Amino acid sequence: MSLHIIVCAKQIIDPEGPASGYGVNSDTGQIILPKGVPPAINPYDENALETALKIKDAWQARITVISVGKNLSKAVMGKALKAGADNLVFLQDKSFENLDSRSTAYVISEGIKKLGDYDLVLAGRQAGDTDSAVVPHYIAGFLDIPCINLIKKVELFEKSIRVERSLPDGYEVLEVGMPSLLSITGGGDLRKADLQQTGGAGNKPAVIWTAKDLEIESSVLKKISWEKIFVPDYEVECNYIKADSYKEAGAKLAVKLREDQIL
Amino acid sequence: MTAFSGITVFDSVSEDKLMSGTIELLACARKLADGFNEKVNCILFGEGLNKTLKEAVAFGADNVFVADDPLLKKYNPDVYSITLDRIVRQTAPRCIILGQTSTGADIAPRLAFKLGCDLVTDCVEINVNKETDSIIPIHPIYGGKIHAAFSPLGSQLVLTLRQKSIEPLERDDSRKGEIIPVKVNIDPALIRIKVVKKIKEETEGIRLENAPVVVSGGRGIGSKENFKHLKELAGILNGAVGGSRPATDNGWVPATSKVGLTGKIVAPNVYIAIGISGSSQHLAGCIGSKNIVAINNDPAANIFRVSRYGVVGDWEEILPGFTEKLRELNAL
Ligand SMILES: Cc1cc2nc3c(=O)[nH]c(=O)nc-3n(C[C@H](O)[C@H](O)[C@H](O)COP(=O)(O)OP(=O)(O)OC[C@H]3O[C@@H](n4cnc5c(N)ncnc54)[C@H](O)[C@@H]3O)c2cc1C
Repeated sequence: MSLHIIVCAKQIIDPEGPASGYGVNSDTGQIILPKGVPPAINPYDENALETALKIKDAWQARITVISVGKNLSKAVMGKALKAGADNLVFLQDKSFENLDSRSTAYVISEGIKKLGDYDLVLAGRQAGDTDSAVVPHYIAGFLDIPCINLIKKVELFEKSIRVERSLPDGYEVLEVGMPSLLSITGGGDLRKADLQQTGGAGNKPAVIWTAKDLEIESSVLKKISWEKIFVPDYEVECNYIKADSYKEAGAKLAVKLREDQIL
Repeated sequence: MTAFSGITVFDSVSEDKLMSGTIELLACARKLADGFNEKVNCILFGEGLNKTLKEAVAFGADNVFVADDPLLKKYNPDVYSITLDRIVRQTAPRCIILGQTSTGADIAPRLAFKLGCDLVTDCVEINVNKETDSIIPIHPIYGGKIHAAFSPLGSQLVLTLRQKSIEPLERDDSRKGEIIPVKVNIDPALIRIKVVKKIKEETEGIRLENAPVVVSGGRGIGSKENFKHLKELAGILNGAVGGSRPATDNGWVPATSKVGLTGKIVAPNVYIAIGISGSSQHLAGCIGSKNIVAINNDPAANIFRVSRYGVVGDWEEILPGFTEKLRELNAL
């Protein structure tokens, strides 16, 4: 048996970048993103890819990474091929920019249908820019396959999958058949480039499918729309405790917190 | 005029006790319903529910729809979402609010997909715009660096509310409400996911979510071994130990101790952040704390911008003096 695993991955501005530089253009009401923060694969999607690669370590499997957007970068998303994915598919079109969760999931599900047979669809639990954690469920909805979220571990059997789902007070073990969609919250960091792949599949071009290829009318797609955006302000004045030595500074902090009836 | 009316709250109940999150949802629904002069319907799932139902009324519900069934004792995504979808269709609310919890955040998209309506998850505030007869949810994006108010949305909405984003209402046992039992009736063929077992991994001592003091460590703590100093401090302060994502990902503290956007939301009286830079995603889980105290060797660390008290320096040198002095003060 050879498995086909599809991993959904989003290209976003590196979410680990500093908070400074984010703002709102007061004329247009649009978001100002910091300059010089490079795009990256959404970190949770990297966890999903690593989960797929671990399955591929143990089973005969082929991995297709699929992404939707307007300007997808081979330099950024190609990291997936270097790590060991077999194919990269860009669903790329002018009309695919800034789609809401439902439209994003619709386009991805159409891309998946065009790919043909598959056994598993993996996605990261949420994207680090829109932070909604909705698209995986909607993809499963459009494909009419079961969906489980918050997965930290996947174990495959011949006909079924056993997963561990994170909970606030532990985790639960669930079983589901194939094909299914699994939305991933753990599973380890994405492995470094696979040298064999770097020379071979790593250089493969991405397959590009446009709205026309997918037979998607732009009129069925909806964009995200915000009435208002703003930068939250949590800043408070910090009372810095200083002393001649660090040990004393620690003691002084304790005394100060007691004086102010905080501790 | 829309055909949809009323605000519906959904939550599950275990051991016949309303969770604090449910009470927050009721407070939020009450605020919205009063804005439109409409009703609050509360849908509760569980087994052996009794006094919870009156409690839901006391905290703001006008009607309580209760599905009390052994099938609902444990969360199963299929069973829950199919049952909830059925009840929601009967009540046709303009808005359904769930908690941004492992259960709520999993059912909300299933429900919104079935209903074909708009969905905004992880809201930190939900307001009414009377002029446009609409609801305006605020959802943080880019890890919380920006907040976005969504509108216009369709005439029916599913929302999830971040925990601890609203003050609960005072309990009022004189409030009147109707209790409406609903039957659970599911075609077994529709259940595709099997829940095998649940493994509890709770740490001993006071629960992180309820602790008045949280001592939290980040990447700067450096090792599991080093966390014992944070545990010692938490012990003295009757507090709980938390961690940032690097601390939980590295296994220095259990995954259940993660504070932040994708971890727990805490709002203690005092949050002591040690070796934590203060990323927006981390702050999402602790910004509601009354007092943040930071120890960090980088004077430019973002955590100092939200802290009332701060010491710049190496925690390994600062913490012993702090802990020792607190012990001394406690002994007085
Ligand atoms: C979608 C998404 C969700 C996320 N969810 C969460 C979440 O829920 N919770 C979370 O925490 N993160 C989350 N993150 C990760 C987040 O972006 C940051 O990477 C993380 O919070 C950083 O943790 P940290 O502050 O411990 O580490 P760092 O940012 O590396 O900071 C370590 C700090 O320790 C200080 N330090 C080092 N040594 C010492 C010393 N000896 N003494 C004193 N100080 C020292 C350094 O100056 C530095 O400020 C999420 C990210 C994404 C993309």
